[in-house]
Amino acid sequence: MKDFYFKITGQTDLNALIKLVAKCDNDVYYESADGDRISLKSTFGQFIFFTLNKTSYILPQQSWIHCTGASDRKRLSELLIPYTGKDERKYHEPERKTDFPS
Amino acid sequence: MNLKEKLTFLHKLICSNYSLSLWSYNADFELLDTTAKWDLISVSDFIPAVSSHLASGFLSPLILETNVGMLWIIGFCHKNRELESIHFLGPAVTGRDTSDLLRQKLETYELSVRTHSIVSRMIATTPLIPNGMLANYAVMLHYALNDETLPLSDVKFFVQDREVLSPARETYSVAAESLWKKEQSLCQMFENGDHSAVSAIISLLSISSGAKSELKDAVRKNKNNALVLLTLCSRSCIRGGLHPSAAFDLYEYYASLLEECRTTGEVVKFCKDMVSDFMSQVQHAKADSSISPSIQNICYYIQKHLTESLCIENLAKLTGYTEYYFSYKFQKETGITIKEYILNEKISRAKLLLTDSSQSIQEISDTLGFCNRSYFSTCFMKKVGMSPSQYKSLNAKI
Repeated sequence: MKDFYFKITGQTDLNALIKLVAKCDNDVYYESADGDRISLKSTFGQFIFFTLNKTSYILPQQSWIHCTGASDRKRLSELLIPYTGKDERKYHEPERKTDFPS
Repeated sequence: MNLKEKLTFLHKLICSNYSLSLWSYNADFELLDTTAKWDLISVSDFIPAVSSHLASGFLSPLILETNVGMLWIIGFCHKNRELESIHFLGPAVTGRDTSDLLRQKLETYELSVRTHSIVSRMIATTPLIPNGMLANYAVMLHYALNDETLPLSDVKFFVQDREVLSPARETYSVAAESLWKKEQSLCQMFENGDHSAVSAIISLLSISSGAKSELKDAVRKNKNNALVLLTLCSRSCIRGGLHPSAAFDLYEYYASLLEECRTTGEVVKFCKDMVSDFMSQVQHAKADSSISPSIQNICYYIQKHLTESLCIENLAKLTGYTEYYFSYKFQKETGITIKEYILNEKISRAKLLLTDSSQSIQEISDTLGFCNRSYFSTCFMKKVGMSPSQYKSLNAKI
């Protein structure tokens, strides 16, 4: 199935987004330039997502919503703006926990 | 005060102790007000749980445990049983285990260092509130919403199914058969009051280390095994003739003592002491088999409540006999009167306190309920053949 990406802007209603994600057929992820990948269909993922929002950590220019399949893309398009500049997502290397020397 | 003022006051009151957020929704789950930055109800699984509670006709408060182990208190504001608004207080966790579960779950996500640290902080700051306290808050929330007082028993608990990774079930092991046989023979030893059971449990520990659960805390694992041993031992001793009330009292005593152990070595020592004590009790019960269980039971009660006021009338009530028949039966079975028995037990305890404690003779006399020191000394002299101070100094020299 094809991958699709959407932008998060300062005006995106994150609560409405979660309600929309619940209707999606496949998993939907919040991804950030730092390397975060959080499933928005799991309750715990939603808690992480809202915690990040609460701490103003979700930066519109460095965050994406990732879904698969045309039907989910159609659903999310009701709220989000499709993101075409996919390669720009990799403008810097993600800082991962696993990158630390053991 | 109007509803909003009451809620604000209650929220501030709770926040003085635990930092919880408050969400208010109308009957259609539309957000009215919140102290948090996000809409709780958009998190999946909340609406089904609340809807099912309401569909059952309940308007009493609900404590919801989500599948990630976090808890919310949910209160319902109604007018003539017509739902007007729904209020959520949370999140909270009820134990350190829940925080550990959340941390374990966190490790399964692909997160950057910064996000990981933000969420870890969130987990660490989620208040740990005992269930009883949550239920109290739920009753208070219901009162603030409806001006109705509710008993704690009206608070409903709803636990969502947790995603549990269950370990693969192992097939039948041949070792289990041998373990079962050894366990049976150990229980037989308990029943017989056999003191060699103490060394038998040590050999059993070398064969099995209990359930193969992945507990990180080795002391906790040992305590769990000791608790199983305590249960087996106390039940076997009942079959061996120990009165159930005495066995259950000992069980309660050792169960609380077990929690005070801090190392695995202490737990092993605890097991030995506990089994040894149970064996002595069984032997004592077997020796006293000529004494009826009701009199054995009252003797045990007297030993346990020596420092309290023991009147024959109350002791008779405990056995269910009249005072006259109880006194008659006691003397017939034990050969001494009940008053004499109590005095003997008090003098035995006094001997123990005189040698083992730093208490003065006056304090020991008061502890054991003698009317004055002089009477205590007279009784002691009559039974032991020397005064308490002589007994104390003699044993101190030894």
